[in-house]
Amino acid sequence: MQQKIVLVTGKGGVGKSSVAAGLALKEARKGRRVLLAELGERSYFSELLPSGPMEISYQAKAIESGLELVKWDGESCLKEYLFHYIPIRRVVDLFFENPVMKALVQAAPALKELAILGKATSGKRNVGPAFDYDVVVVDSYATGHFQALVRAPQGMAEAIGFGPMGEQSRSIERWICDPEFCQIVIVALPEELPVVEALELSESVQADLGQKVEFVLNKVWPKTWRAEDIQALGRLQSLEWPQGLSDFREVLAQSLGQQCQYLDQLSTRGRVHSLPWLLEPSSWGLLKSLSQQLEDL
Amino acid sequence: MSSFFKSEKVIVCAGSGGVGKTTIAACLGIGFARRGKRVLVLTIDPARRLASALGLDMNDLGSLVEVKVPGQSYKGELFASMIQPQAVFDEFVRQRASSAQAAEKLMRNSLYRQLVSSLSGSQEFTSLERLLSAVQSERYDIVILDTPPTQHAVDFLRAPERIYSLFQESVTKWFAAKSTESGGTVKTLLGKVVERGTHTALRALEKITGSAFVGELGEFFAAMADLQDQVSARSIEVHRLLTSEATSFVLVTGFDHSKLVEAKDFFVELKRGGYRLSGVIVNRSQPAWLELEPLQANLADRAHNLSVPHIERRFLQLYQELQGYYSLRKDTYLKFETGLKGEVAYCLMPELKEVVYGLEGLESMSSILETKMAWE
Repeated sequence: MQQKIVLVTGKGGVGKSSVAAGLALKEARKGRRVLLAELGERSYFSELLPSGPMEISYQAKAIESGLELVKWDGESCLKEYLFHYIPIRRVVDLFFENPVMKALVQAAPALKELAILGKATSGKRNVGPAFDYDVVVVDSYATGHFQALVRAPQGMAEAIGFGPMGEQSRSIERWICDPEFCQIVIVALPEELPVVEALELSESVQADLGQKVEFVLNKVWPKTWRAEDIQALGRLQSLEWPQGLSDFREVLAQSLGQQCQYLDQLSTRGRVHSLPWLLEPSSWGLLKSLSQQLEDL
Repeated sequence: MSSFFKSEKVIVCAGSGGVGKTTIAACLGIGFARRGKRVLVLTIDPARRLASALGLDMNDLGSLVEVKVPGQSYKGELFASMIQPQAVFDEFVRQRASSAQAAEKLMRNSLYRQLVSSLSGSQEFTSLERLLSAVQSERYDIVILDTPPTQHAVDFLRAPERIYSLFQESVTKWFAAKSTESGGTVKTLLGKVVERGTHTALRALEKITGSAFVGELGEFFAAMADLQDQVSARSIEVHRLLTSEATSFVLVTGFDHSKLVEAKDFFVELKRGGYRLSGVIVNRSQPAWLELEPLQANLADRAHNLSVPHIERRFLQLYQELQGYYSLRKDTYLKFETGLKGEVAYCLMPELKEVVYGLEGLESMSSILETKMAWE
């Protein structure tokens, strides 16, 4: 089977991690070997795992049959990359202990971002340790940082031109621009700001990578409400209703209308998948139920 | 519950992405303007609707302009400005480089161009730089800073370190010396010893990136070395400002377990760093329209009575599910609130029924917030 990577992004707080986990669980259920990769300093999933809290780091850990979880930080990715070129552990360690290089790695533009995408595409490019997953789902950064991430290879290629890293950057860029290999999923909520941000991001992804995106509209009202249902709701006898119930009727009718509008807006720029709001606290069970709803993505 | 504000001159709104920091920062600005203050709200990447409510032009990308928010009638005055990292960085270089040529040289370097537009730390650095200049201009009684979107609230405190570390003497000197070596720089014995490790590291870097990159890097640091004293002086000033009595942080957070855990971590981190936290605003908590009292028995029965029309049953069930969902969250919040032990002020800002439009929308949201904060 052809390897595939999925980059999941969206505005902060829209549920990127839940969607990423849902996707990974769905693929694993189909019998594929799946890697779910978190970026950033802290693991979102470590507290939610079915087997109890677990330290998640650069070494992938099996958490379910067919599913491994890993946390990629820029420095570890860079370290592995360096080791690929200079297979002498002592030199690599020296590099990362050196204060000058430490400062450089921390702040140098796009170096860490490049290393992360380098890792995600390492299977296709045949570099580094074995990376034989069928599907890699990356629970990626929120909008602004995500743009910096996907622009890193091109920016680096332009900045350094020739040399091994210039070549690497160009090859990474080619792979993330390949729609057969790399899929970009933007998560939004049925609210104005996340939807606007998702639409703008889809345009910039199109411009930067020439890629079409897919959207997930998370937390839509559960069950289908047709127009006539909403009308019927308006006709209900409400004399004995407490204020909260009357207010909720108004809010529900209004937000169901907006929800349709957002679905239409998003569908002008890519396929949209709706995920119902399950009204329960985050747990592994919740992520599993979400994965059932993502069958067609 | 203690009150949020004393006599601050700087308020920093911190919190993770998507909690509504920018809107809260604007509301606080309105609150201070209503109390007769001359206020500047510094926003980062505001959503278009919010920007236009504040009279900011999203297309005005290169500008550092501070606009008086149109349509206001307060006892004081409200100004707003958008932080553009690249414009702030360029301005910093132009003002502080030793010569116009040195400034030009740095701004032409391709790594510099990437640094100012990429996000690892440069947004945080520039927003603090922008804050410091606004405070030092003495044009405002109070400056409110909306912080860049980070995954976690504490990232904001850590990010500037990354930029400052680039300017450390050891780093800039080393690269600067490297690039002038052919010009015959005389190095001290100590310098050579310190550098030995760096030489090995540099060879490693050259091997993976190529000599062109290392050359570019050398030029970049040589140009940066020119700014080094200025940057470290500014970083000390920024730190002094952030830890002074005049500054306090407001943490904006969300109404769920992970956001509240994060708020607690931030609280600890702030204390450890010697910063002052004036309060926690839990934004978009239980919706204003939702009552948690259980439905009366007859209505609760209707939710499951098969003779009741399908739509009504479904509607009543959904309402009860929502009540259950928010009750759980409220319990989580109450535990968090107990944990604060009255050390800081806190308030619950409800999820609002209406979408906030224009300055009027912000004003009515601000009124609700002021009530919830018991702001006198």
